[in-house]
Amino acid sequence: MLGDWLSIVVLGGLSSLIFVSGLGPFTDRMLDRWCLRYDVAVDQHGREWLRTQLRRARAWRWCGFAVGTVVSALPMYANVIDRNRAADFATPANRFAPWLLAAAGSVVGELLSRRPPGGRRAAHLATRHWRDYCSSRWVAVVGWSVPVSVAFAVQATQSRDLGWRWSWLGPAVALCGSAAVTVGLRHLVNRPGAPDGLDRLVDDALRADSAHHLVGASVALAGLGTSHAALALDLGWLGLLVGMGQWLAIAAWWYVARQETWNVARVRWSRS
Amino acid sequence: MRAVVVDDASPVPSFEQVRSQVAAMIRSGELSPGEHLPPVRQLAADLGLAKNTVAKAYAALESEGLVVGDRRRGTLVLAASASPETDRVRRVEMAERAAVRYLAEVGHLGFPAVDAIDVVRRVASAD
Repeated sequence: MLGDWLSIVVLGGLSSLIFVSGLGPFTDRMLDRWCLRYDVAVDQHGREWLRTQLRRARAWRWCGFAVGTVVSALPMYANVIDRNRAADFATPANRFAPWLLAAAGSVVGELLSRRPPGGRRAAHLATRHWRDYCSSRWVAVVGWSVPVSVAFAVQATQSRDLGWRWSWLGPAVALCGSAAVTVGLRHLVNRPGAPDGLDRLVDDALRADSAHHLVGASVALAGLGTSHAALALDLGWLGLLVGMGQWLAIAAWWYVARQETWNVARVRWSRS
Repeated sequence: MRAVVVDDASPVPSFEQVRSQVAAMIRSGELSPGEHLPPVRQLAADLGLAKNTVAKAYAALESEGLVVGDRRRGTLVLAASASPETDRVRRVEMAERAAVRYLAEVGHLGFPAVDAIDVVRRVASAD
C-alpha cells in the first residue's frame, strides 16, 4: 500500500511537472535556438506567429505525455481506492499509455494548424512532398513495423498460450504509429502556410520541425509495438536485448526529433 | 518568386485572381511547359480558399489550353503559344478524354464499345 502511495505521489508530481512545463511560455531563448537550428531569420511580427505555432504543438505533445503518465498509473490509484477492483484497470496497454498519448498529442498538435490572419494571402507554385521535410528511411521503418509485429504476434499465438490482448497489443501499437505518420504527413504538406510577408524558409522550417516530431513519435510507437510483439515469443536470453529495444525506440524518438536531415532537402525545395 | 496572391479586399472573385495570375506566369514564360502546378488541395490550403474555387481556376486554365489536368500526374503547364507538336499532343489528349466520356455515356445506355464505335462511323459517313 505504501509503495502504491509513493508511486502515485511520484507519478502525480512528475505528470504535473510535465503538464506545467508543456503549457509554459515559449521563451525568446527557445525561439532563438530554434531559428539557429534551422538557420532562419524572423522579424518581430513573424516571431510572435512562430512562437504561437511552436508553443501549441509543444503543449499538445507534452500534455499527451502527462495524461498518459496518469493513465499508466491507473491500477495504482485503483489499488489505493479499492484493492479488489485494481485488476480491472491493469491492462498490458497501461505501460504504453505515456508514449501512445504523447504521439497522439503530437499528431493533434500538428493537425490543429490555423489559417494566418489577414485578408491578403500568398502561395508558392511549387508542389510540396513530405519527403522534402523528413527522412523517408524512418517512415519506411514505421511502415515495416506493422507486418513484422504481426508476424511475431502470429508466431507467438501459435507457439504459446498467451491471451489475445497480450499477443496483439504490439501490432496494434505499431499500427497506431503507422496511422499517425500517414495522417500527420499527409496533413503536413497541405496545411495552411505562413502569413504573407514571412520568409518561405520559415514556413518550410516549421513543416520540417513538425515532420521530425511526427516521425519521431511514430518511430517510438513502431519500435515499442514491434519489441512488445517480439517479447511474446519464447526468446530466452535474447528477450533481455529485445526488452532493451523498447528504450532504444524511445531514444529514437529523441534522435529523430533532433536530427537535421531536412537541411539536405531544403537545398532543392526552399531555394528553388 | 513564383507566388499567387489572393486579396479578400479585391472586387475580383478569388478564382479569377488565381486564374489570371497563373495565366500571366505561363504567358510570360515564368512557368515553363512541363512544370507541375501544385495540387488543388495544397493551393487551396495555402490561400485559405475552398478546394472548389481553386479547381474552378484550374478548369478555366485548362479550357484556355494553358494547362492540362491528369488524375495521376497532376496539372501540367502547357506552352502558352504551343508548337504544332505540343498542340497536337494536347488535342489528342482532349480527344481521348472526350472519347472516354462518350464511351461511358453510351455504356450507360447498354451498348458495348464496338456498337458505340459503329454509331460514330454511321454518323460520320452520314455527314
